Amino acid sequence: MKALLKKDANWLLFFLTFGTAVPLCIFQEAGFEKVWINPDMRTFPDVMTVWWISAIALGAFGAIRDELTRTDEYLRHRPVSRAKIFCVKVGACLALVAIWLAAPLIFQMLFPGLWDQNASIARWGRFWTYLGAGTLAFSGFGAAFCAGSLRVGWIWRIVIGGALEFGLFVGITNLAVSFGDQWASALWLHVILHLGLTALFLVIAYGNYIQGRDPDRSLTGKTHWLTAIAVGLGLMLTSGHSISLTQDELRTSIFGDYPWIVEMPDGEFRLVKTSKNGQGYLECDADHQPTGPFQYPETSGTRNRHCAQWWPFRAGWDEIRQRFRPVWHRKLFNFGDSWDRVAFFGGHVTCYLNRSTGTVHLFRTSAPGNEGGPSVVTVPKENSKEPFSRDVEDFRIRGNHHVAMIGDRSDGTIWRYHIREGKDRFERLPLPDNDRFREVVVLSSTEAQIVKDGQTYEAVNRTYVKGERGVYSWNGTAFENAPEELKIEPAGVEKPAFVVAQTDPIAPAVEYRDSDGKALFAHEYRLHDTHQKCKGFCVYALSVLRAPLFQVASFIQNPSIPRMTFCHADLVDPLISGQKRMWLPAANLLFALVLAVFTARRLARLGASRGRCLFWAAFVLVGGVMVAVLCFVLETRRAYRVSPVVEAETAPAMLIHSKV
Amino acid sequence: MSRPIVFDNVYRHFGELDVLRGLTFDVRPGEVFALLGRNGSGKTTALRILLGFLAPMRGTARILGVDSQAIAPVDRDRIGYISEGHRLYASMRVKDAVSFESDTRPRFRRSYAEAAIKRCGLPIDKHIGLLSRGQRAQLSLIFAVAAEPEVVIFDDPAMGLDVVMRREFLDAMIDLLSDQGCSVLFSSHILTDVERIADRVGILDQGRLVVDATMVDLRKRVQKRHWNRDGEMGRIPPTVDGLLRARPRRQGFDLTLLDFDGEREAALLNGSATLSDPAVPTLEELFLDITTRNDKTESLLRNRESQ
Repeated sequence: MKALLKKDANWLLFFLTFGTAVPLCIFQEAGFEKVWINPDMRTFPDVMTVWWISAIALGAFGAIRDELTRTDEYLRHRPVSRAKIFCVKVGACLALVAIWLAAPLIFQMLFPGLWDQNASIARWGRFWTYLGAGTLAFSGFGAAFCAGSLRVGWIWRIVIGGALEFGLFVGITNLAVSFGDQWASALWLHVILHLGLTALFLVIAYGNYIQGRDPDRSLTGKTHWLTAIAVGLGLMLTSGHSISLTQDELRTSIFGDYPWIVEMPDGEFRLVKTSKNGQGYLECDADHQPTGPFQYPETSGTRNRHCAQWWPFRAGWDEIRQRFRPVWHRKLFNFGDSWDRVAFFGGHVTCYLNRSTGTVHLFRTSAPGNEGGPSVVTVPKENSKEPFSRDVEDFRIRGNHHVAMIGDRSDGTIWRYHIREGKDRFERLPLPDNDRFREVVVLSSTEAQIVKDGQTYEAVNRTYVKGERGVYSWNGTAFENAPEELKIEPAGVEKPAFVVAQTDPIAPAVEYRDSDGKALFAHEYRLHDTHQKCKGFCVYALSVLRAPLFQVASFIQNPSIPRMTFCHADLVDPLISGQKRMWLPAANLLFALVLAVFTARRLARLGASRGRCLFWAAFVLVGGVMVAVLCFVLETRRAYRVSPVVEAETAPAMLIHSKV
Repeated sequence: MSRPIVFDNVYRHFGELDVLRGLTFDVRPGEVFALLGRNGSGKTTALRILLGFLAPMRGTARILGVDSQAIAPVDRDRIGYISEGHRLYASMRVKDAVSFESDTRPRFRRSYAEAAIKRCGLPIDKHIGLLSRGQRAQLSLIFAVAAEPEVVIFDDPAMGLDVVMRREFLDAMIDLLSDQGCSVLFSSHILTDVERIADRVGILDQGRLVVDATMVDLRKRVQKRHWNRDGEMGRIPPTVDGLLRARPRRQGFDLTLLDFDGEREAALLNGSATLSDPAVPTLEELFLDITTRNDKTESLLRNRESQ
């Protein structure tokens, strides 16, 4: 065994160094606090990405290395079983992945002084979180090793490997995020699934390795159906995700053509769309036909007035889309403690007192998707707020007085901290009349500008602070009462709400409701012009290509279940969710049935056994078009060819034969 | 003693290409059997099937009495093998490769290998990837025979070596194998080498063995003669049994004849034809006569077969 390990020592050492050193460098670059005190949104996903990609490279290289160097037969021709050769190689790779995960973390834990003096407030328990989340490196390795061992050509190995990796990522994330806020459960599921799938992939790889890479023979036994099911599921998930993203883009494009809803100051609602030349706005009727130019209600020179409230439908679509938006894998890596939440939900701040340096460390975390991640602001201990760890409002007052503030609802205080001010600052800002902070409001106004071609309007956002008794604006040095004409409701008054009454991905119905729930305005969107209908057709056609298994699940799924998960973006088709458009799953099933019959007939013609024909027919019926493609790839005509017996008259006869 | 290597009606195809079509032959104990054939004739395929690296579509191959598809790991130590191109781990040093062989093959004689490496002048500390082809070939040969195998299989072991290297390699091969008395099956394109070391040759043509004869037998039974009919051009020799090949040359034909006797000679000399004195063809000439074809030869062979 030692000899078998030694022969691979050079490349194993390379991977060991790379997979350990790079994450360590990333951790060091991020700093001690971002790893062990207040994790940010980038460091750990970056490390995970390094682990994952390294694991994929390790798996792929490990599987094909002997084939590439053509030393496979040299290795096999010795009194060592193939099983042992496989196990030693895979075992070494798995041990290497385990070292990747543990070594940089243990190193930081053992030598915290190298990074920071602030080890006393480190959350060492996070080690297990990192380790658990890092199990995706194992399955990444397993999937790549499995794909590299398959009995198909190079191109198909790459395609199948990609599908397996992505399907793995999509599938497990789907399942794990469906736990919602139960992060610990999600992590356990994550660990179990990744390790379980690693084992499955390695069993498949073992079967393929033992049976050999002979393209003229079909796989047999459990290796055959395990390979088919695992790769088929990977393809189903990957194709589902791709179709979902394509449909999403098409639907976004359709919604881009839909008109906005504009609430006028007098409470009226209008449908408004951009004119074709993009130079102005047109009012339109319920069928989206333009009826005339849209007139702004404001006059020129009005400032800081609460004018027409725009409800661009894109915002409405975003609301729908939010329910289907992918929540990336990083969500899994943050769970449990409150500061973990801070790392996710935008505009939150955590403070820690660093007793060794006498400074307050302020961790400001940006909103998801906001580049830059969390920032650590070091401020003097003097005037510092007591260390806390909870969600607060983090906001800016821009313009001439660019000030960064946090508003803490728990004690009603507002604090400012430095941004572009040239010095550290962290101080409390009192509100007039000792009012308590409640929330931040941003109002839009329009300002008229006279330009050469006429009058145009520019939107301006103003930030105000709402207290329990009033609304306040920032004058550059302190808060003061905001102008009364803003007419901002007191904090306790419920605002009318814009709601999507029917969350159909193509034809949604929207409402604007008052605080009693009474509909003030309602509109149902429909596909109207040919361009929109063509896009709509493409969306439907893509649904037919989805895996029937997921389509049936989508159809019977209760749409009232909250779906703000990655899972339902891929596997649940919102077009048919909740027993809508029955013809669409029917068409999907019919298409799959035709494919299944075609697949079974093809296999029967090739000479496959009845059991194998039935297996593939059933699998195609469940998995749809991608499984049918997989059947073509794995069950080649070549693998079923029978050598023709050479007839005596056509065979070259023995010309010279020595009789012994 | 049973035959250490047996091919029994072995078929193998790659896609639509039928490479082996009922290959049948065996190698006797202590015999050096050379498997010859043109590129793509199936030599390597046959050897890979024999070693269990490929499965036959039909038929069986047996080595040391064991079905090639069920060779136990322990039996592999009894079989020496040099693959085409002498594949070794390029990143290993020679001494590491010796350790690797020694650690993975119980019968491997480390001291023997080290002595042989020294005798061949191979640099022990050099990476295998930096060795010349000849040195790699010698190293492969040493590894193949150092475990005292009962059967040795070489897949074109002298491929890519220059004349000097090839000669050195063959000398080493003869030297190393001379004491061991093991059976050898090897494929080669270098027919002069085959003539030097083979006891028996097999020639593969279109997936089947068309020659399976001892070197002694070949020299005794096959002859070349020039046939001429009074300087008349365009006349072809009559079809007689044992005519393997008739190649037009000058005003007559060069004939390759098998088991040529007086009766057949009389048939050829029918009329005013003349025959040159017999000459023993080289193996290369015989190989060319059997494996290269033209219409003339084809028709002659067909005529012969039909009779």
